[in-house]
Amino acid sequence: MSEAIQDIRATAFRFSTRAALTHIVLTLGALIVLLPFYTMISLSLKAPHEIMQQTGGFMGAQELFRDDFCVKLGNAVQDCMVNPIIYNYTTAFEKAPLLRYLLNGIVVTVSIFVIQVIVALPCAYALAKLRFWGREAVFALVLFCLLIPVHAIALPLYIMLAKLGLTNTYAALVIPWTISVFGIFLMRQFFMTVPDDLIDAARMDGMSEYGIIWQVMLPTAIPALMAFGIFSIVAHWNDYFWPRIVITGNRDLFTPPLGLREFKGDADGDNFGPMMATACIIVTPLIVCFLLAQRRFIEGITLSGMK
Amino acid sequence: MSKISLQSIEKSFGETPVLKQVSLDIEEGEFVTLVGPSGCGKSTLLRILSGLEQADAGRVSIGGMNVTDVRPAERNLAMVFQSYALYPHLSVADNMMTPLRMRDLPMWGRLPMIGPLLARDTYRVMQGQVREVAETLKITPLLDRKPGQLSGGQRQRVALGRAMVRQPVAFLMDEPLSNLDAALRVHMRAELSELHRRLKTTFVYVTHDQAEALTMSDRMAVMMHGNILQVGPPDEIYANPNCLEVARFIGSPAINTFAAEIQSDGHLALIGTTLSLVQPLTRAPVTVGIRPEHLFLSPTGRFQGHVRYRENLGSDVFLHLDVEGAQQPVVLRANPAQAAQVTLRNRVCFDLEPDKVLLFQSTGERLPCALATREVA
Ligand SMILES: Nc1ncnc2c1ncn2[C@@H]1O[C@H](COP(=O)(O)OP(=O)(O)O)[C@@H](O)[C@H]1O
Ligand SMILES: [Mg+2]
Repeated sequence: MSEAIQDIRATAFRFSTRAALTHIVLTLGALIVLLPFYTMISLSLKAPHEIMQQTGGFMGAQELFRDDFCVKLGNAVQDCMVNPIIYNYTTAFEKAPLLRYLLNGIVVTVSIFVIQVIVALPCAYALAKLRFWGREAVFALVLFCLLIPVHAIALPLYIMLAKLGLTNTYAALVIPWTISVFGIFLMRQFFMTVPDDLIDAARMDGMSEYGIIWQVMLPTAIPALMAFGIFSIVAHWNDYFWPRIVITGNRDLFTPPLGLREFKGDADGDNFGPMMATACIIVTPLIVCFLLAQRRFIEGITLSGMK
Repeated sequence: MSKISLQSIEKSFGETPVLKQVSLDIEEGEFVTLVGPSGCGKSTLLRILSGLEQADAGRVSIGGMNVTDVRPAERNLAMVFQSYALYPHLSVADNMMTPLRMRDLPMWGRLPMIGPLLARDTYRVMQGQVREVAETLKITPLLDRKPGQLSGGQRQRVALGRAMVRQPVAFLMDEPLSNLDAALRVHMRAELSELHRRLKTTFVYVTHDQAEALTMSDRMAVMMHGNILQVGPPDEIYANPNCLEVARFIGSPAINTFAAEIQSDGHLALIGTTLSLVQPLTRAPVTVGIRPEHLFLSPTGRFQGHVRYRENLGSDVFLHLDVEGAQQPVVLRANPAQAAQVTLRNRVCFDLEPDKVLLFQSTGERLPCALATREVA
């Protein structure tokens, strides 16, 4: 009897060590991932001297400090005393047209995603559900394209766009990304789990193949589309490489990551407070989107099919 | 007039022939069952009839019109699938309305949001039709639910409803009851038969379950490896199978078969006993088939066996007997009173009803045969 209880205790104990270990590892991982964010938020709240001397903990002392730039403009010193948080965030919006950049970011990422879906769904449907000559070869090509890194084709792409006179336009930011092999692959895998009977039922009901894609496949694929949407939007919202290449002069077309550059390498040195404030503002939309879509996102990743 | 006719249909997938010159005529209003073991091509034949699959050769006509190259929706057939195939994102009412929307509304009327405003009258008519069918199937309370919130039986009804709203020329059903539990399946058989009587529409029903075929159909077509072996009313096929395969497939427990030989003197040598034949009299090896209910226990019976297993179904008891000279156990139907007197592993005597014996050639074809009802020694 007592042995049995000991046994139970033993198993319970063993189980909890393992769980504890798992949690320690996960916590460490989470800390490593979150540390840069912590720094980013912390710096966006502090005054410049606190940032330089690395004092003030997370929030800083929140004392008023003198804004040198304001003084240089000839204002009285007491008019130029500012609160660090207010200074950092207002400077972020004043020094660069941050709202414009955010808007550009939205236009670009949303256009990319919408066109990607318009291209990927019919492709994925054909690859998953239609029988045609060469289907396997086409799918193998899709898999092959997954292996090509963006940077490898950046130069030819740039040259083509330049020849077409499309550099420094929204089109240059959007067009190269409209065909997403990853999207085609992901949706194709999802469509494979949709029962053939459902498609046949739609055909019996009189839907055309495109009707089936938009009226049957699209609604059933929402979880997978959400997952793809998050991958796509995060990737293109945060992309620094491509916009940096094709947007050379026109600041009106800057996307948010390009906006960050405005705070770098000024004559009066780096201005970390406003820069981190900008970074915070840039990532906020993504975090909000993710929190809103979290459950659907995880459903989509596990690709839980029908039934 | 909507007689359906399939003529010399052929179909192969790659190198494998799946249908070999299959022909079938279905009269208007008939309940026809395609029955056969899994993989014999029933679904393929049904899909060719529906237009979802293209035949390699042959002709499909409905009501005298050749529809071989007509799109599925324009054949005005409705199909019920084994997996029900309801649209998971639409409510039951919308599921049932989809075929009507596709048929009765122009492009702009099908737009989301504004469609129902633009084509208000058509929508009202369609909703009326959906409601009417829902009444018939007793699924009115479910109209607002999503398919995910329904039980298997309810989904089955909704799938039927979606097929019924458009009043098709014929209903095509591919194993529609296979996903239901046993009790519900038996109940739905009766309900489908009732529905068929009420609608008076043609039903083409595919199943691998010979019991379903026997209970529901007006006529059944037995299919095996890509051929239709026999077509006829269930009674006819049960009592008068035209080949050994059909005889073996139809009926549960299966028919007893014995290797036997017609001797030159016109006697039939059957597991150690000889029976007098009236016809045929040519010497040949044959297979004898006799159903369990045509064997009976009798103290004076000419055959003997040891009871190996008693399968008690309540109303009947099937005795499985080891008989010397027979390769498989012989199954015999007894009534419970008789069976109560039988103990396991004991010897029993039994006999057969001579006029129910079926004779097959070694190639499997049926032989007309008559056994003498009285043995003259
Ligand atoms: N799309 C297909 N591609 C290749 N072979 C198929 C396809 N559909 C059916 N078959 C083959 O055709 C045969 C008959 O299939 P089916 O008509 O579904 O049989 P049943 O419905 O009688 O069980 C099977 O051997 C099956 O493997
Ligand atoms: Mg089948």
